[in-house]
Amino acid sequence: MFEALKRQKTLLGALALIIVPLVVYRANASDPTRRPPLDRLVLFVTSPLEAALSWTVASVSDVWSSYVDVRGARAENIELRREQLRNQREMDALAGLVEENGRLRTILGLSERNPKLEMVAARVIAVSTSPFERTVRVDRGLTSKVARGMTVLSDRGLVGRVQRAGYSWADVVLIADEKMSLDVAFGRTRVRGRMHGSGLWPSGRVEILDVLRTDDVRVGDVISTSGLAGVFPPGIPVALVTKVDAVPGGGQLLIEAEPLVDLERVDEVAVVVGPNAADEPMITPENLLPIELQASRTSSTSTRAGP
Amino acid sequence: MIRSIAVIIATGLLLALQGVLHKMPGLHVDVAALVIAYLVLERPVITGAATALVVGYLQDLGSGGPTGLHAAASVMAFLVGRVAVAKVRASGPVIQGVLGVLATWLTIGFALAIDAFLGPGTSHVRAMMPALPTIALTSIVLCYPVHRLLARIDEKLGHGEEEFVLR
Repeated sequence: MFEALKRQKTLLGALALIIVPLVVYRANASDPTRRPPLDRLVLFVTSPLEAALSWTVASVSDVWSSYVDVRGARAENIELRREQLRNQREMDALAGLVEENGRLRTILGLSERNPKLEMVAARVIAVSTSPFERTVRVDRGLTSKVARGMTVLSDRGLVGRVQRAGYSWADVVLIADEKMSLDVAFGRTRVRGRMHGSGLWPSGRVEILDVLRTDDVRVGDVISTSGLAGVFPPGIPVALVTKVDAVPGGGQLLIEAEPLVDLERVDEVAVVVGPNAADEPMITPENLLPIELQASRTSSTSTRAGP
Repeated sequence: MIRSIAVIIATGLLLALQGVLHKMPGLHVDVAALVIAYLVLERPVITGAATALVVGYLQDLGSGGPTGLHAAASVMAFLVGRVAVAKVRASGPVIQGVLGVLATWLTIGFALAIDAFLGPGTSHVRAMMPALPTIALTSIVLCYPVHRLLARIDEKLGHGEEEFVLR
């Protein structure tokens, strides 16, 4: 009997090691709140150790959390800065869109106020890189009925003339190009002259020739197209007189003017694709015209309306 | 005997650390199962079962539940693990990892069964389901380090005190 038990001691030992905790569990499970003395003793010994370990881990955890927080705050700061930049960019883009919208509305107004002139809106897509030319390329061409010789306007006034047109593009020679020459009239006195572009130097300036010394021309006069020869529709604002000099020993004035359109930054334009109505001056939206021109128009209107 | 006591002390420390680490939401580790996996590979039946009993007991104390549940489950898991390992002649980190996960599942399974038959039967797999994947994952990850730690303790304290069945 004992020999048999001795042979099976491993099995019996294993069984005992299973049964004992099961019995203990069975006894404890009925009252989970009760702790046997052995449990209490072990816990009494181990709990300070556990508390110390917990404190150590908590301290390490706190240090780590602080480190993570600092890193998180830094990352958040960077992210906020990026967001601010993104917002700023969006605001800039929106401001640009608002301006563009205004310009397009003006161009639309031009078209509405001049029903006889058929216009196509276009966007400047490139600027000549050659110093010999002052041209811009627009995104409308033959498919939009844009052809050589057509007038190009912006919300402020005359931009230039289509020099050549492709399938979906057109090159526009600007009024500041030195090859450009057109007949103009001074808005206040209706004195006529010939405007020439001066290229890149002096930047953005144009010259008006063929004006007699006796003609009444002052600084600040607005120059517009005369409509002579039918190249440009009449009445398109072109430039503002900035300098008036008498040619020494001559009978003419040397006049410098600044184009009303900022030719360096022109972006949206309108191309007059229909025939020019030379008999009717072009009507430009009043609110965007230079004050001087608005005043001259008002006075001329009131004169016409008078008895 | 000394080596087993050393393993138990180390397990006690690891369990205390486990209890602290469990404060972190979502982190679940079963160090006791990893120790049992080590015992399966490195201890004879009786010594291993007795050590597993104490390890389970320590886990019971740390769990806050009635004493005996994890103690019994650990002994059962150890014995089943021993039977399984006796059939497989392999070693290394892979078998340690497999055994670690196996010990984890066995311990949980036996504890559920004991609770169902001898206890109030209030434990359900469904309730601990969210923790099970994390426990399995941490068992795989930590099995080798825990095994190396305990083996290191064994090496420090010397061999020859006990008969190694698998060696």
